[in-house]
Amino acid sequence: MRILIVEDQPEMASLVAEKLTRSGYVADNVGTLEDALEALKQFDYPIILLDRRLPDGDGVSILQLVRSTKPNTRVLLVTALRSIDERINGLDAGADDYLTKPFDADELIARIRAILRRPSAGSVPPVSLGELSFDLNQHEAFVRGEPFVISKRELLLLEALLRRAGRAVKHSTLISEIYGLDDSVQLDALKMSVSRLRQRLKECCAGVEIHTLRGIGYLIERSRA
Amino acid sequence: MKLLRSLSSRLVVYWVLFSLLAFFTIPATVLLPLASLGIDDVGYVRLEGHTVKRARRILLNALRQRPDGALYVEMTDELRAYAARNPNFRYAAFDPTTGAVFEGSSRDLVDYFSGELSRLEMLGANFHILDDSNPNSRGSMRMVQTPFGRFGTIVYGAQFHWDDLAFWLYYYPTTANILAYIPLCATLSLVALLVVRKNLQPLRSSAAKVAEIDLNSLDQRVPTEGLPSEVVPFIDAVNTAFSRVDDGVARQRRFIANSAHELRTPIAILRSRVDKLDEALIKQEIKRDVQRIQTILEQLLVLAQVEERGATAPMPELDLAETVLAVTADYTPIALSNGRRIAFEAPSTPVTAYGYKWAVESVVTNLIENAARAEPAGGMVLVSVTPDAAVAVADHGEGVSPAHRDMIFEPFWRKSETTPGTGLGLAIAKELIEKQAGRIWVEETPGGGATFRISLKKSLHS
Repeated sequence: MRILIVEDQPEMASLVAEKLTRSGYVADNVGTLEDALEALKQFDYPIILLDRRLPDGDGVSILQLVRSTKPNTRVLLVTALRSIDERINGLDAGADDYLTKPFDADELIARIRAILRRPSAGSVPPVSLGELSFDLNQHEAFVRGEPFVISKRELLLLEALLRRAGRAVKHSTLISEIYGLDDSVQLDALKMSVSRLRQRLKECCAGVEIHTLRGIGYLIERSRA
Repeated sequence: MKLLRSLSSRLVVYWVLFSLLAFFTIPATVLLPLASLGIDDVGYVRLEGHTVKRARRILLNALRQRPDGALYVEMTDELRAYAARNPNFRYAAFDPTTGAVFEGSSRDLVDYFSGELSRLEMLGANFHILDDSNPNSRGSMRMVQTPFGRFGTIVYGAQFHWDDLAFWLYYYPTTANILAYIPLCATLSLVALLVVRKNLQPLRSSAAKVAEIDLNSLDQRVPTEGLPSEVVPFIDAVNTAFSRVDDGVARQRRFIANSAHELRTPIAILRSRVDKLDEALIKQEIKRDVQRIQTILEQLLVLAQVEERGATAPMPELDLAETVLAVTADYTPIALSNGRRIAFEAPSTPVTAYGYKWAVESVVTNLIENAARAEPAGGMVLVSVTPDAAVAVADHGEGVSPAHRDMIFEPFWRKSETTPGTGLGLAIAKELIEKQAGRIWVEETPGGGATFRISLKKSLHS
């Protein structure tokens, strides 16, 4: 999957590109709004990372154009221009999400995966963590290449955690993604699912660990030696 | 001059000094010019008429009494000198009942009056002798009361000399004149006191207004209505000074905001570089440090924005539990990789409060960072939100001794030279929370450690 990075700071752009490449994406980088529009004509990018302070203007100014000409393209605004006024941060302008600089690389990837979860063209690269890999398109998990067989609920749970690997995933997010509704009555059911998933991961030596974050949610990361 | 600090006392003192001078030099400044020019000279007194007082004084000084009781005029040095300067000067002293002329004085002067003395009791008269060739010559007859008894005196023909003026001035402060001066002085002093007091009264309310103005109300100005025009330029200058300070502060805030903005990109780059490092303890430590720098930067930025916004717009409402949960969740990976856990507690119903989301986020992040650093390895930091719109961040570290609980919110405070300070973080946090009508303080965690608490204004809708 190709991602367009619109960022005029070469260092920033190459570091983001590198992180994306490591996560299985292909990254193209342009430094101006003009080049960004040109690149969008050449290729149907499923997602663009759009900086706001660019040499030829505010990234927000091309949002309408992108929306009308490329309805399938998702826009993640990457901004250093954060304001206490949420409206200025870009969501109102039509961006799918915004991320404030400086951001955590895992957070960036989690946001990209979250945006791509919505129906869109293109195949999302698999998530790899420890010995585990997860195909986000087919919704299948593998451990060392072998299919990792678990129940549907646990698979949804694993996907929800892996999309945000390395980040805390709140109870409410997990419940809505697994059970399709936001209901705290499901909290016990969630605990049971996590417990079973842990057990299965341990049995298969998947090399990942699910941390319980009391009152917050869960976090999956590579097991430490 | 310490006594003269007050404007009214200065006014009164100077008024008394200069009015004394003006009042008691009236002979020189008013009487002499009028007499010499003949203006308002009702009795044709002329300058020569005014000299009689001195002449009579010299005559009285020359009176002597013989052992047998008879009075006579002695040719004293003073009288001789006066007579020498005034060739036409004549003088006489006499007993009005017997008509006897004292020895040593001019009988012919008394003769002019002798016809009248049997019919009139002469008390005093100014006169001119008709056959005198000098039309300005003046004389005076007057009864005087002296230690030798009551008798008549006549002086005539003395000329005006400038040193007579000194005599006039010296004898001007008579009882009557002093009594005339006192009510004048008292009235005007009282007027001065009242006018000063009454007219400077508005200055007190101006001062109260000035006292109210602080960094958050620099846009306010001191009204000049009702102030005396002499004071208005001062108040205007104070107002312009406030304008300049206001501009300067606004510039500083913009500078801080811009600096913070500009620093975000390098920090973003630093963060990405750190992410690229191989897993190692140093990586986690650097990540945590970068996070701290970022938090302070965010706080500065929020502070600048809140200060800019705060004066004009009402504070928005926020879901406190959701906001605190989000930042707690965000910080969890860093804490986990540093071997500390974070737990969160909140009521099941939403807790809404007045505040800026971003500001609360950066302050809570700051408290969690501090707590995670203070927390011993393997320990758990507890972040909780309570229904009264309060947030608590509890660690189990060394805690903050009661003596330091206020000081830690001072900028750059540190416990000792060797311990790293909390830097700006808590100072900005305090300012941010107070800007949102909230309170921040530290308590002891039961069992040891520090618990930082924030209390915000609870929203009415929750």
